[in-house]
Amino acid sequence: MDVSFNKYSLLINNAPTLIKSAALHYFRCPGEKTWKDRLRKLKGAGYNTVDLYFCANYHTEKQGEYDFSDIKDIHRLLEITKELDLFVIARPGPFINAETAAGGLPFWLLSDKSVIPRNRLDGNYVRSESYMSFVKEWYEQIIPTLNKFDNIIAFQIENEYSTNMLEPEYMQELYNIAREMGVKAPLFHNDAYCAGLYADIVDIYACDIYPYISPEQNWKDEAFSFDTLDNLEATVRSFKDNAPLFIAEMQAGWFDKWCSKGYCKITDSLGDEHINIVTKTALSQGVTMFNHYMGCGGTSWDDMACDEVYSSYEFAAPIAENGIPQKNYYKAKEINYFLDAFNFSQTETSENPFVIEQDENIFIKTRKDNINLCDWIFVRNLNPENKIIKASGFDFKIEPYDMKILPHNLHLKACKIDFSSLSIIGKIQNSIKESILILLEDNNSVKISDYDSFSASEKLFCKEENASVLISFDDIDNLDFEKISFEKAGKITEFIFITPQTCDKTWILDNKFIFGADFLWPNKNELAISQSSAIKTYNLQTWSEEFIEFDEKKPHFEITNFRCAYCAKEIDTPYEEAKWQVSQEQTDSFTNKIYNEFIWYKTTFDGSLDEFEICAKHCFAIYLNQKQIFEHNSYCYEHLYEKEEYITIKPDKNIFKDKNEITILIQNLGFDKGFSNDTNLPRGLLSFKTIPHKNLEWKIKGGLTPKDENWQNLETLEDSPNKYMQYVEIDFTFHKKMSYSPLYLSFEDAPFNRATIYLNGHKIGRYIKSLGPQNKFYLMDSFIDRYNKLSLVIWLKSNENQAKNPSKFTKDSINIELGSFKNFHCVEIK
Amino acid sequence: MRFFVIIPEFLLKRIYKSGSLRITEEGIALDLKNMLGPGVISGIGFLEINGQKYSADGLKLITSGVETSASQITPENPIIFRLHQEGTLILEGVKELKEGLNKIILELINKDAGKVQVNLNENFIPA
Repeated sequence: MDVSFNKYSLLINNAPTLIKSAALHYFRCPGEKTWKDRLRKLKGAGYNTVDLYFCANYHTEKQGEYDFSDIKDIHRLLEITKELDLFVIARPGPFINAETAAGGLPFWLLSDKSVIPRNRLDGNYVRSESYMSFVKEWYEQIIPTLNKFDNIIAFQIENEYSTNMLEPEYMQELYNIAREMGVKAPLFHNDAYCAGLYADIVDIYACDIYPYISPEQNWKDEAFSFDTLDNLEATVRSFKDNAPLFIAEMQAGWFDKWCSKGYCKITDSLGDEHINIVTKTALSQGVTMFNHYMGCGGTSWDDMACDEVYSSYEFAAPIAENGIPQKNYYKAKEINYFLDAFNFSQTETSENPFVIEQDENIFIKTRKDNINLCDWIFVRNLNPENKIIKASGFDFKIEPYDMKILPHNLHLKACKIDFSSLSIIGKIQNSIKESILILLEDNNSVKISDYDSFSASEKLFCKEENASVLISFDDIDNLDFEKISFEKAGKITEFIFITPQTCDKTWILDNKFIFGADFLWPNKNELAISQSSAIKTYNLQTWSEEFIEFDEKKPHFEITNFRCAYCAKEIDTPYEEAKWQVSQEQTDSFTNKIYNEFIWYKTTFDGSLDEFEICAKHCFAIYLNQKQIFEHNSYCYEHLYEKEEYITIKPDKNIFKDKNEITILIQNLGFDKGFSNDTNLPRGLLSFKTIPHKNLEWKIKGGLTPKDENWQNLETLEDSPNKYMQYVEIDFTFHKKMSYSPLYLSFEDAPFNRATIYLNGHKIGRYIKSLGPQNKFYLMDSFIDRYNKLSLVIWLKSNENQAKNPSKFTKDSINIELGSFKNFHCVEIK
Repeated sequence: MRFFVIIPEFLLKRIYKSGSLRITEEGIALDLKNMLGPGVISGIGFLEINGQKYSADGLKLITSGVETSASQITPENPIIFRLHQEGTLILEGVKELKEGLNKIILELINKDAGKVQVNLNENFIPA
C-alpha cells in the first residue's frame, strides 16, 4: 500500500482518502478477544482507522527485556486491524501521556539518575545521551514490527512536546531515527497548543482539539470553547500549506480524576451533541484526518494509571470501558456513514450560495466539494432554543446545540438535490440504483430536480413545480421508512426517510441496510440486540424482516466459594527479613527501584520519640509496634503542580517500648503522566525525620502479601494479631452462550473504605471511598474465564473509624454485588 | 490561551503585540492579542516594568471598547479573552519608560492554572 498526501488529504494508493479514526488503548483493553470486539465495533460504526499508542512501559520491566507475548502481542493486534481492513495511526512515543504512569516511559529508565526524560529539564531543552539511548532501544523493539504492516498510514514521534525555547534538535532526531529504521508512513507530531510547533520538521502537522476540559465546564454556555476549532483552517494553513489538516486527538470524551464526580457527569455534559458539533465543525474547516480520542474506554489495570486517574478510563468514549456502545457512538456512526457516502477529502472554503441572515451563536460555513461537484453548507446552532435559518426561500429549523451538513446542487444517479435541510445518513448503491437514508426532522424540506419521473409514498407531502419537487416535513410522526424514488435514463435514486430513534439502530454492512440492532460485529457477521426486535434488512432489491425474541435470562454466574483471612503480616513482629531490601539513603521508590503501587517500609530503634515528620506519596498508614497510629492521603495538587505535604505526628508515649518498630505502608497512586510535571517525581517515602534525631535504617519491600504469595495457598495466611487488612477470595463460575454480558463488581453499599481488586490474579481496580468517585468496577472481559477467582485486599481502618475495632467481613456482611451491566443477545446476520 | 496547561514561555509571549509599548496621555500602554486559544482571565496580578512592580489597582484593560479596572477582574468576575481578541492594558498615571530595552512582566491569573507570567523584553523609542 502506497501512502502519500497532497494539501487536501492522504492519498492511499493514489486515492484521496478521508481518515476517520478512533483511539484504542490496547493496553487498557488487553488481549485478542477484547481487541477483536472493540475493533469490530469501531469498524461497524464506519471508522476506517484505529489510532494506537504503543506504551513502552507496558512491555518492559527491566532494561533490555521486552515482552510482546500473549495479551501484549502487538503483532497479533496489527494482524487483526489488517483482517478488518482498518488503517492504523501508530503512536509509539516514546512519551505518550495517555494518563499512564510516567507517560508510558519505563520505570527502570526513570531510576537512572543520568536520564533526563524527554531531554527536558524545567522546561528547558537539555540533551540526555542516556535518554536517547533508550529511545533507540524502544524504537528498535517496536518499529520492525510496525514495518511489517502496510496499513500504517501515519506515524507519530513524541507527543504534545515543547520546550521553553522550542529547540528543534530532539524532534528532528526522532524524525531521522524513524526514517533510518525504515518507517515509510508520513511522520507527524501532536501539538497540544495548536501553535504550529515543529510544523517545519514533520511531514503533516497535527494538533489536539479539546473544547471541553473540565467537568465543571458547561460548553453549552461557552460558545468561545470552539474558537480554536472555528479558526483551524486559517491557523493551520499559516503553519503548513502543503499537507492535509489533521486533528490527532479530537475530543470524543474526557478523562475523569480522583475526587471528581464520575464519568456519568462527563457523559451527560458531552452527550451526543458534542461529538456531532466537534466532528462537523472540523469537517467545515477542511479537516480530512481526524481521530476521535478516545474511541473506546478502558481500564487502568495493574500499575498503569498515573496518579490523577482512578481505575476506570471510561473517558465518556463512544464505546464504554465495558464495551457497550454509548449515545456518542451512534452519532459518530451517523457521521461516518455519511462520509462513506460522499468522499469529503478534497474540499475548499467557498462563498455561501444563499443569503443567510446571521444570528448570534449561529455558525455557517460553505465548502465546495471538488469530488462530488457540489457545495456543503455547515450550519450550527449554539443557542438553547430552536432557530429558523432564513436562507433565500429555504427557511429551515435547526435544533439547539445541533449541527448539520447540508447538500446544495448534489448530483445523484437519477436526480439532483437542489438543497436539503435534512441530513443525509448514508448510501448503498450498485451501477444502476442508489438508496440514500435521510434523517427526518420537522420543519425541514428537500428540493429535488433533474429527474425524468418520480414516485412517492402517499404519506409524504410532495409539491411539484417548475420541474422540481419539494418534499416538506412539518410533522415526522409515522414517516419512518417512507420512500420517494426518482428515475432518469434507466437509473434510480431512492430516498428512505428514518427517525432519529431508528437511525441509532441502523447499520450499513456489505452494501446492505440493517435496521433494529444495538450493534454489530463485521467479519464475525453477528449483530446484537438488548430486547426483542424486528430486524429489517434492505439490499437495494428486497426487504426482509425477522423477529428475534430476546432471551431475558441473565448470564449465569454462580459464587462457589468464599474465603477470608487477615493479611497484614508485614506489620507483625518479628517479620521475615529475607524478602526486604535495605533502603538507599534516599528512601523513594525510584532510588530503590521498587515501582509497585504498595510499598512497605520498616525500621527499628531504641527508646521513644517526641515526634516525627513525614512526607510520603500518596496514601499511607503508619504502624508503631503493630498498632496503627496514623493514616493519611497526600495526593495533593495546586494549579496543576504537585505539592508535597510534610506532616508532624506526636505518637502516644504509651505505645513505645525499649525496642520499637515502625512500619509504613504507602500506596503510590501512580507516577506523574508528565504533562505539567516531570515523569520522574518521586513516590514512596520522601522524608522521615524524628525528634530526638535518630539514624534510621529502613528496610523496604514492594507489593501486598497476597500478590506475592501463591494465590491458591490461602491456608498459609493465618490470622494475624494485626487485623488491619483483610483478604477475601470469591470463586465464581461464568457461562455465556451467544451473549454479550459485561460483568461488574459494585461496592456501592460496602461497609469498608478501601480495597484493591484482583481478578484471576490481575489487579483490575482500586477502590478508595474518600477519593471517589468509582465504586463500580468492570470485571475485564480479557481476564474472565469459565472458573474465576476474585480477590480483594481490604483496608479495614481509616481515620473515621480509628477508634473502632475492625470487623471481619464474611460472605453475609461484606455486602458487595456481582452483576452484569447489560445483556445482549447475539445472532447471525442473514 | 489554554490556561489548563503549563504554557511554554515562548508561546505566552505571543499574547503581546510586538512594538505596542508606548506612553499615552493616560499612562504606559501595551496591546495584547490572543493568538493562543480561548481563555478565561480571572485576575491580573501585577505589571512589573524594569523591576518596579505595579499592582492591579493602577491597571485597566480595554477589550472590545469596554474598560475594566484590573482590580475588578476576579474569579467571580472573570473576563473571557477569545481567540484573536485584542485588548489594551494601561498603567494609569505612569509615564516613564527607559529608552531602549525595557524588562516587563505581566502576571495573569486563571482559576485552573493559577498565576501565569508573561516575560517581555521590549524596545521603547520615544516619539
